[in-house]
Amino acid sequence: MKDLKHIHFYENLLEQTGNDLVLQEKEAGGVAVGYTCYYIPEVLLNCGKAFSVRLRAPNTGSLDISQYYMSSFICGYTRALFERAFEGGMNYLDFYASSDTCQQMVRVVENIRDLGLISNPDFGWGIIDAPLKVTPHGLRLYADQITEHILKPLSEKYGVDISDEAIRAAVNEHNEMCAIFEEISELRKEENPRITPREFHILSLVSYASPTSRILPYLRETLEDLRTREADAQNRWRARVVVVGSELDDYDFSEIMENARCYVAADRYCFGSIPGRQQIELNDDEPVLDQVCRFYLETNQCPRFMSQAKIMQRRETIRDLVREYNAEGIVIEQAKFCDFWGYERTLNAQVMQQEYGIPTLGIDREYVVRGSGQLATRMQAFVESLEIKRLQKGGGEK
Amino acid sequence: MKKKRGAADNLNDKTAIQKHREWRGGRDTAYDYLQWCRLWGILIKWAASHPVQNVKALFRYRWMFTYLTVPSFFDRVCEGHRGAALRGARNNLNYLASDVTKTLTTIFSADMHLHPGSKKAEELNRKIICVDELLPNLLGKGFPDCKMILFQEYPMYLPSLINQHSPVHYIEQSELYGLPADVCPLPSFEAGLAIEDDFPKIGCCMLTSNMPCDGSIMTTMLQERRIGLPSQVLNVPLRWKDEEVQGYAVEEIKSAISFLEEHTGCRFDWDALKEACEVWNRQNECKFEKWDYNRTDIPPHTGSSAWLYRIFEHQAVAGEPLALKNDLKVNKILRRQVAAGKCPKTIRHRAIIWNTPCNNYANFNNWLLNCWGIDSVCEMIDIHGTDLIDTSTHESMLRGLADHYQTATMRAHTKGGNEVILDALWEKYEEYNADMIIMFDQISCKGVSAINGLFEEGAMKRGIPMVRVRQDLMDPTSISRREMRNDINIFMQNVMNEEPVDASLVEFDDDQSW
Amino acid sequence: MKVIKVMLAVTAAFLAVTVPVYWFNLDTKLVKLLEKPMMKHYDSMPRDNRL
Repeated sequence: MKDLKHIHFYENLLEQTGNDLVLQEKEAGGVAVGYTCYYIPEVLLNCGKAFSVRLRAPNTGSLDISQYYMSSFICGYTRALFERAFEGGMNYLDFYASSDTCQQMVRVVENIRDLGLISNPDFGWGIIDAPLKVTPHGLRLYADQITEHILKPLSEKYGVDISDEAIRAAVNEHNEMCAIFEEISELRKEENPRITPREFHILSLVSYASPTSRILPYLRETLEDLRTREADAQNRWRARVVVVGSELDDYDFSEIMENARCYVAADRYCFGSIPGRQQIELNDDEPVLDQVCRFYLETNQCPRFMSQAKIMQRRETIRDLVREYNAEGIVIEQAKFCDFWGYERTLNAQVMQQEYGIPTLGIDREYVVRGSGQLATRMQAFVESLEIKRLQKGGGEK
Repeated sequence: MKKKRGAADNLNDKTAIQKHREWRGGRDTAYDYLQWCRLWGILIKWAASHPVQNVKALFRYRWMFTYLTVPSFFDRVCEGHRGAALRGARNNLNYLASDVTKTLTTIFSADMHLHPGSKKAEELNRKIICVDELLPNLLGKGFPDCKMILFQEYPMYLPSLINQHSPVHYIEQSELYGLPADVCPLPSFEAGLAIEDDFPKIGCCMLTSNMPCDGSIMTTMLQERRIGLPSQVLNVPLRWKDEEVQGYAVEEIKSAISFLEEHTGCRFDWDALKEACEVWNRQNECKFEKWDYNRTDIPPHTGSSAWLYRIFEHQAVAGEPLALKNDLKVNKILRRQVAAGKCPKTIRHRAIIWNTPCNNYANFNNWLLNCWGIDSVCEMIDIHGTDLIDTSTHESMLRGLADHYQTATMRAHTKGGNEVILDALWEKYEEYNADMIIMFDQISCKGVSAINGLFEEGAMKRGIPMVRVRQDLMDPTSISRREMRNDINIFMQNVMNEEPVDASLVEFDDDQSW
Repeated sequence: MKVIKVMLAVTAAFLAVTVPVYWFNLDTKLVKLLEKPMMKHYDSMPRDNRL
């Protein structure tokens, strides 16, 4: 297939923690709000002149400094973020919005704060508490925490407009971006898709890592390009899977999948599009903040949610994605040393296989997956097993 | 010259079983003997009350064997103790033994594994509420006709303290199942129990929670599949210093009460709760008095038995009149010794012990004192649930309960923001006139190890000698007791340039000990 | 008088048994002997390992 429009531009953007669009927006008076987690409603960080940057640490090399400060049993993502901050790679940040929903991630912002790693004199932070089940009083807690620790500081310290109108405007822009992703996602359901897993992963990452207003024009053009793109004459994919799991901001993972000729039909992981790139419907009857918070609570797929309803929702979401995206199997990936996904992966790899009858592979991986031979081997083996199952069912080769 | 006999010379190699019990001088040895008789009286009374049931339980549950080693455990926790330390420790431990045996009777009488198809056991279960073991059961006092059982306490937490090897088999099972080996051994142990179906089959419902940490959240979800009881999550807020989360915390307790009323068929009794909270307040006051004594130059009651008792008291017997009675008795003993100005121990250093202690070396404090003269005058694990509960209204009691939960074991410092664990350390150092810090570095506790560097830099900035002791909570195969002692030995020899109080304890083999 | 004699005899017998057990740590040593056969028993029990 012809190169996707702007793909190299997107790749370049993903080479930096604070990419060119981020710096341009800052230059224009924008307030850069860093965050890491779906518990922080992304859309609320894009009110007024604020813009969200979902934090990554591309091209991470040694983690020696973070090992001293944080120990070697801490998840690679959090250590990489700390290391990047220590190196001065996050000095563009004005505000760090965090949640005490993962004890490792919250320590990153605490370390950054206590060690004074962000040289920006205006740097601020907010840490929310969040419920681990969806209830009316939980929603109240969530909305109040976000107001107290994120929205109010943004307004008082940086003059960010957090009015209902500003939130609605942010939702509108967010929805426009999500509409693009929803349409591109549909292409992944095709028998011979016009977009590769790596490309989709790049699009997803770049939409999280860049100011929405600045990346939107490029995404619109990319969508146009995809609408008329011709798929390869021959369908090269041997298997189709849904990838589920923890934080995954290294698109080399999708490249490894591609090399194994395994098509990632749906991406249900943190930094993926499900959830995160679905439109938020608002009504005129309720406070807009409550509606947004409810949306994020109800769609949150973090294993931290403990209620039976949420546990079942996570499994049913995976099952539904497998059906909707015509997948044959599931890959549950887990960042090494992630407590939440360590358990979720182990249990759901068995449950999805045994109770839902869907072939499932559970893997753990480093934060940086580039060059992971072990991962490639395991993917190859899984793809072969899916092919064999298909043959046994009488489906023939792809 | 004849080599001076030390405490380790009385230990059998590898098993570290004492060849004979410790000679503490005539009076203290006689006292110790009588308390040992009292302990055996408790155990025999318990065994004889339901002999068939108890033997069945022993043969059914691997972890039950650990309880046979309790006398040996109590000996280890009292190693080197004299005077008020010995008396306080023995009284505390014997009270624990009497409460634990009563609870085991309740558990085994209702256990459907031991009594399959029994109507009597079913009937008993209708009034048993199971809760996550790190969720304090003070709330259960509001259901006086029911028994609230800390579900994992008896198969998991207590055995991990009593016998360092008790978690090993279960952790292996959870790793064989596929759970990563880097997770904390506590949730792994629980997961292993669930996998092997080694939890007693009791209860009519269960309150789960996010206590104390991420790993525990996840293991709860695994266990629920095996336990199979109707369950509700009691979400305890993490940012407990934040006034804004308190409303939510109270709502969660109200919701838990409704859930329990529904499943037990009992109405919540506010008067019973008030009475229990007032008892708890007095228990807390007793604890404050103990801490006051530990701030003096002659701290009478420090170390393992102090923090073990505090954990159990806060979790399992808060609001229990018999626990208060024990506290008043022990405090009288301590008061007497302090008034007399006595201190029958060699103290060379006053240490603050910070972070999670090591369950698989529950009497590490004893070794610190006996080998190097390091007295554990203040420990992080000892400090939780310290706010008194205002019992004037239902709302104020709920607020007090919410606070009680948010500041529970392993929550009061590890959650709420790093200032809670960092600033508190420097404050306690001053308050207790300490001269060193022993920092437990629990390698699989990610919440605290993620700020290792801040501890190091804080200590360096203040010129405080701090030694880091690596441990893995309850997995002796990961880091052994010997390795923990070695961290201290290296520090004391090379940094502090000291000779031990008892050279025989510097290096000895106890890998096979309980 | 007889009661006192009996009580003394019982006390003496009690001490005669318990003091050596206490001093020589015989209770612990006995439990140690039981450990291996009990662990063997637990290892041989049929198990339904699952979640």
